[in-house]
Amino acid sequence: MIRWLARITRFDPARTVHLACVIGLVALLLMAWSVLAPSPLAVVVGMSLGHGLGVLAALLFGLAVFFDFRRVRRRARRGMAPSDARP
Amino acid sequence: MCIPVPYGFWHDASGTGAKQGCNSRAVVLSMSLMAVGALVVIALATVLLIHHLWIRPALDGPTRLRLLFGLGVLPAAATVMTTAQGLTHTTERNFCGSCHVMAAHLADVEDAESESLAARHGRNPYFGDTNCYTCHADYGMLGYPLTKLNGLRHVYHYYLGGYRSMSAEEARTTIRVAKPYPNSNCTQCHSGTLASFRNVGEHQALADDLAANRVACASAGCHGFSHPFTKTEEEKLAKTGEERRR
Repeated sequence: MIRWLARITRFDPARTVHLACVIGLVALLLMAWSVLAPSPLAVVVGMSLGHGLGVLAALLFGLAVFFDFRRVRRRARRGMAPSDARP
Repeated sequence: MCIPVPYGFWHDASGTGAKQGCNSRAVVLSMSLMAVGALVVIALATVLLIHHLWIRPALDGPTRLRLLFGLGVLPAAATVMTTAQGLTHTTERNFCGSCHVMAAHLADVEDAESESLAARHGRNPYFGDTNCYTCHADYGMLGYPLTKLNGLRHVYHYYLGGYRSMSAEEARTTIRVAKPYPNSNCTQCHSGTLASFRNVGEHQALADDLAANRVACASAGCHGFSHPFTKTEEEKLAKTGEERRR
C-alpha cells in the first residue's frame, strides 16, 4: 500500500503541495459561498463538495509531507553510510 | 434597531419582527457571529494558500507549519463553523421560502392579516424565524438528522425532480407533504396532558382518533388547514392527511 502510494506521489512533493493548495482554495471558496449566499444549492454544495475537497487537500498535503520526510530520511541514511562504516 | 443574536441573523429590537426595520447595510452585515468567524478563518487560510502559490517557497519547516494551518487547522475550523452555520440557516423560514415553489407559503406566513394556522404560528414569538422547521421537523432521538436528510430530498426534487420548472400556481396544488402530517408534531408543544387540552369536548371525544392520526388537528373541522390556500375542494372536505393524499 505504502509502495503504491509512493509510486503515485513519486513526483515532486512541492507539486503535490501546490495541487493541494489549489484544491484547498476551491474548497474554501465553496464554503465561503455557502455562508455568503446561503441558498439550498450553495449550502448543500458547500457542505458536501466543499468539505470533501478540503479533506482531499489536507490528505494530499499530509501525503506529500510524509513522503518528503521519507525521502529526506533515506538520503540521510545513504549519506551517513560511509562514515558509519567501521574499520 | 438591529441587534446581533448568536446562531441567527440580526433581529429587530423594536419587536415588529425579525429583519424588519433593518436597513440594507444591516442586511449586508446580517450574519451571525458564527458566520463572521467562519469567513475570517476562511480568509486567513486563503491568504496562506495564495501566499504559498505566489511565492512558491521550499518545503522546509516553517513552510510546512504555515501549510499545516492553511490546509489543516484553519480549514478544519472553517468546516465546523460552516457546518454549524449551514445547519442553523436551514432551519430558517427564509431558507425554506427561497425556492419559488414555496414562495406562496412564505408570503402567507409573513402576511400579518393571514389567519391560516401556519401564519398564526409564524407570528408566535416562540416559533419566530424557524416556524417552518419547528412544525415540520421530525422529533425524537434521530429527529434532527432525519429532518436534514428529508431536506436533501427536497433539494433533489427541486433540482432534479421537476419542481424547478413547475409554475408557482401548479406547485400550489400539486406539491404535498411526503407523508400525512403527524398530530404528534402538534403535541410537542400543545401538550395533551394539560387540563386546558383535556377539558375540550372534541379532544376527549376524538382522543383515540387523534392518537392514531385518523383525524388531523390541522383539518377543516378542527383547527383549520396550515396552508389553506393550497387545498383543493376535495382536500378541504377530507378529514385526515391520508384522505387528503388520496
